[in-house]
Amino acid sequence: MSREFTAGLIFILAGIYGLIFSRQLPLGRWNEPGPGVFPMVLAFLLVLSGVLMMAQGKKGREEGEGEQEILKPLMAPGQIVLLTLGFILSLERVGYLGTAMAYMLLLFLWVCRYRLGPALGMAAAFGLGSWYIFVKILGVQLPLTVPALGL
Amino acid sequence: MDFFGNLIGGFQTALSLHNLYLCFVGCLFGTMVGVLPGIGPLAGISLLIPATYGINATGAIIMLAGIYYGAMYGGSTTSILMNIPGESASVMTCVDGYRMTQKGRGGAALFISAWGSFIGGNLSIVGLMILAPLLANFATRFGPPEIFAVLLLAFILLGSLGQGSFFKTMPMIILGMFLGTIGMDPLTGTLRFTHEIRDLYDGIGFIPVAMGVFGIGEILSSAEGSIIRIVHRVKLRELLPTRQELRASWAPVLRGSGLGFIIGLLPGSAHILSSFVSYAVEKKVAERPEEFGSGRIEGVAGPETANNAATGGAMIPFLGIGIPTGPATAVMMVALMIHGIRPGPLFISEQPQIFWGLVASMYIGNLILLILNLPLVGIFINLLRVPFRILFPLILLICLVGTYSVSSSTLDLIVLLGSGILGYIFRKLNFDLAPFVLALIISPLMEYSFRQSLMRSAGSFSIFLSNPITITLLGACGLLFIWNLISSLRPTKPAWKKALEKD
Amino acid sequence: MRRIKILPWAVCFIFGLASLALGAEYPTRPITMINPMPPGGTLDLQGRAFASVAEKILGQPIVVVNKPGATGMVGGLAGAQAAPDGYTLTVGSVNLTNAIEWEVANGRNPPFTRYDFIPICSFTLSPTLLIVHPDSPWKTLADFMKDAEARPGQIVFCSGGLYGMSHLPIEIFAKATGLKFRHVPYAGGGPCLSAVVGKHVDFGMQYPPTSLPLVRGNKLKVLAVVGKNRLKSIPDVPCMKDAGIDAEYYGWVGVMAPKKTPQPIVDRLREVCKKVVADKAFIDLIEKPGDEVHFIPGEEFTKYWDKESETIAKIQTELAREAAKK
Repeated sequence: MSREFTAGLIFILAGIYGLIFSRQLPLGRWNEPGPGVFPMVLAFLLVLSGVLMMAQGKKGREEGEGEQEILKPLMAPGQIVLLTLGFILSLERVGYLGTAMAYMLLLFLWVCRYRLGPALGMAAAFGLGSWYIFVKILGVQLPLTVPALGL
Repeated sequence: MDFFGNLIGGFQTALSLHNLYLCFVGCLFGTMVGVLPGIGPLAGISLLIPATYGINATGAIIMLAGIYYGAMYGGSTTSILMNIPGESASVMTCVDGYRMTQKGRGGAALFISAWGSFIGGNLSIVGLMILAPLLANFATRFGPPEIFAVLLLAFILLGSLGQGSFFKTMPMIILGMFLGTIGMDPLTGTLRFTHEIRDLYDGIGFIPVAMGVFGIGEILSSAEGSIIRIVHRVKLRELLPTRQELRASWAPVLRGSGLGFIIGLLPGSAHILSSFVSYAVEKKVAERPEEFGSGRIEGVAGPETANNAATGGAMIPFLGIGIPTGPATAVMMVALMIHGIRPGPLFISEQPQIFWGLVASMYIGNLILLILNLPLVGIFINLLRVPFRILFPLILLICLVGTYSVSSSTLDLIVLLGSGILGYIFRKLNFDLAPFVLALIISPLMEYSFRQSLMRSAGSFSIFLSNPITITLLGACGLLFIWNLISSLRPTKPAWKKALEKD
Repeated sequence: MRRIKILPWAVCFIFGLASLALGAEYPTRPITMINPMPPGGTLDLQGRAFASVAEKILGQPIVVVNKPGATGMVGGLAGAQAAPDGYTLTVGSVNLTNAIEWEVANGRNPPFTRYDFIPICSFTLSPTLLIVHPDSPWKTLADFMKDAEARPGQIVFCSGGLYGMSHLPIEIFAKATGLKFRHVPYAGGGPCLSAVVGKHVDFGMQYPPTSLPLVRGNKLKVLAVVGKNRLKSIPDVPCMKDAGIDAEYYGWVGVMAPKKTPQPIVDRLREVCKKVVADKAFIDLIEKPGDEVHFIPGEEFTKYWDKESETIAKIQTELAREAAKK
């Protein structure tokens, strides 16, 4: 699967989604264009360019890379995505300080392969430091871990 | 003419200790606001309005204007060093600026961007001074058809920004436009593609998308390689630009100043427009346009100058007739009104000390910002010495907090992550991301103007050809489109062939 | 040993008492005021004016945050759903009523209603002004109306948002006089003013604070005041009542709190409001741009809001019916 082929696929899928859902929107008339016009035209263009791209992709096929080699470099990014997702889902439940420190810890430990000691130290430092700057100095509104104490 | 007398009077006002202090505070806060991804000048100005209650009107507007252009300076720092646009006008700077950092030329990029911003800012203030009364009305001649024409032209220019061909960049632009339609339609209140998710009513924000696509996408990309990598040793010589880089920059800076000033007059997102129009122009004018995107200094000098110059232009309709053309000037107007001053057509003649004091302080502000930013270049570059595997979790955290600080919405964080994944995928597929993000920001206004125009004309398309402005702009669109068509169908000469031809 | 064990309990007890006591001393941290309209408009100006005076009385900063979208729906929803602890207030205006009644008129459940709010007070009640470009052919309201009769549907007007506070007065005027116009919605009062100044549309109806400076600078002309009385700052301009037209529309700006806010906090805020409207600095801020302070205390506001909702509901229902016919 060459690059253009995959990209084309993505565009087609996005375009199909657009076409399906913009049908529910009113199109209006010439002198009062409704909210459906633009999305529908854009979705259509997306499908069109997707098809063209897939066609181009099929023509100029690049050397296929080994399956294994595609997967291996994906490990680290995948881990980062997973951990970030975890952060996002826990932020409002656990509060900033706790989530940030846990997030940093896991990143350092798992992705960066530090040993426990340094990982803990840096996580604590970054977690506390960032908390101090964001919450105390800049006054950003973040969910608190221990609201009664303002943490 | 009273002109110089007024200007000198203005400097006297601006140089008072009190006003100097306020100018400094504004610039400092603006730089911080610009550097921190997430908070833009608009939020910064709104946040500081209460702080101005105890100060007189002149001081208040000096401080708030300082925030406005301070943010333009600050936004370039994170764009160049970390590939995270501090705010929307800095998106274009990310493209070549970050590549320069990767090649070790980050210091030079920051340096030139500071100088470019300084010159652009100053030149546009000169323009403001001399031309304010004349040009104030220009902005009001731009109605929906004109705005639509400008944006259409901008879109076609956007297509030539990518590294690939026009037709490879277009689908990304269309995708960005499509995502821009998500949310509540401003014209009718109908919900589009929101699927009952309340947080989507306002659409997909620019900040999570830009930070995700650029910042997080970049991190994910880099994470593929070995995380434990060699750190680049930064030498002092590398902080300063080479003679060649300096020589290459002065033309883009001049062009950027002019472009930025003119575009700043127009209603809408003047800074974003000016930055990428400048980039497109530089790319078209350059000898080897295919190098853009891999670290050309012109790609940094032009946009950075333009977005600062746009602040001067944007102040003209606001100070000249009292109509703000963008959100930042609108907030400044409210700030003035709270101090009992009503900006209107008579503002300049009735309140000369405020107007000229402001003009003078803008010069001073630009100087202060230059002094603030240059030494910071060294500090920031040193930050890059920190090994990637310690730095990137911190960057992730900053992105997350920056996004959350704007809207306190978990959905925005998901958008951030999603855009990061999208950016990562498209990076691997070799597609350009800047046009995608820019299209996302600009297309709602384009659609809105289009529909407004048709409502005005009761369905007749002739409104788009009704006056010289629209005809010129649409004509330029057509020409540009055809040019792009032809050049993408013609095979490009490889660089070595061109080099041979030069001899 | 025993003594040491009592200590943590004592500490908790004291903390508990402290937080109870803290509750009585509202506010203990900065208050946010959501402005559902884009920055730079009348709500921004008057909301911030209120905030600047009120925060001195309350002793805590009041930060005005803009949350624009869909003529006030997005911000209104945020305000209605905010935590009812008195730290998130909303700059209310007639736009809330417009938005709510529009949803109802279209048979949809509005995302929030006026019952989701507790009115603290309102402090202005301004009529709109019919503004045109000074070069336009109409010298008086009568000229304008005659022309409109002669060319139905051809005179174009702008509004700051569909079914919002600069669109409805025009519809009310049109219904009262039987005239027909063509509508181009803009994104807010500012762009609409710009459009009239730039001659992109023929007229509009906007509010005094933002229009009067342009009038003074000769960029706009006011043909009429859409209300029962003339305005002090432009005494020569007739009002609708003078012309015998039964059209009036008032944009009120006020402060709202979410519905479950505890009564002591509501009372304190209402007290503050009374002090603010009597404060000379505040009055200056409102009157200098040309508006007038008109105070309706929270307790009486509910009645006003009910009446207004009825009137607006009627208009919106008619408009919705016409829109459905198209």
